Amino acid sequence: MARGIHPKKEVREAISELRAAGWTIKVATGGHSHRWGTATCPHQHPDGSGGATRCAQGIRSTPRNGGNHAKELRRALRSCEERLTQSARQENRDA
Amino acid sequence: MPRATYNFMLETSGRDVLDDEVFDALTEAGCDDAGVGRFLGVDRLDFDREARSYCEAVRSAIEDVHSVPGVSVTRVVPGEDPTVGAAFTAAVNAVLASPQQCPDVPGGEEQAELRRIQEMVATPPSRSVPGLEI
Repeated sequence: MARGIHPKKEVREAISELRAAGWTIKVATGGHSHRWGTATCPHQHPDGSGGATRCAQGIRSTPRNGGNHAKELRRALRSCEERLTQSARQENRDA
Repeated sequence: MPRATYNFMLETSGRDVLDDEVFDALTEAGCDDAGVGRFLGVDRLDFDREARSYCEAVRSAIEDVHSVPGVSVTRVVPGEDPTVGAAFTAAVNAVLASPQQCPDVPGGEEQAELRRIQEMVATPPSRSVPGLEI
């Protein structure tokens, strides 16, 4: 299978959703067998100590269960988006 | 007892879980049923673990992470259904915060698994951490 296309269909679908939400997908190069790539969110979340942090999630090449791994990727996307909604509400209150 | 899949997260400190070497070590330790990532600056493993009970799932996951030198479990975060194992989660977090004490939890199996977690975290890792030798 071509580099950049995940072998598991469920995982490919979750990767498409991450991409659609603006996440960057970096496909691993080199001899690391367990990580297919890394997904990084496009946002700068406050890290609680004055700095900023992006969400990042490893994408497995051979998860024990492809469907569960897709769910894990979607949960990472959801917690990132919930955090954005909370921050927006906070800004509205502060304004 | 029938097996089921339990969802919960373990937050970790120490070495970066997205470091290639650490990611591979966690996978080889048995965490290929966890999503590994970072949220708001905190490293965490999001497990979908099959086990006979919630407490067995959490204990075995902590055991797997604990076997990787340089990575420590700091907290258990409830999963999609926060009512599953709520009392056990609270007791494990108490042990992770003060490993010298083991609170009472309802249930013989829960108490035994909690004791195993306490023994694990109260014992400093015997292996040295590659790259962190002084």
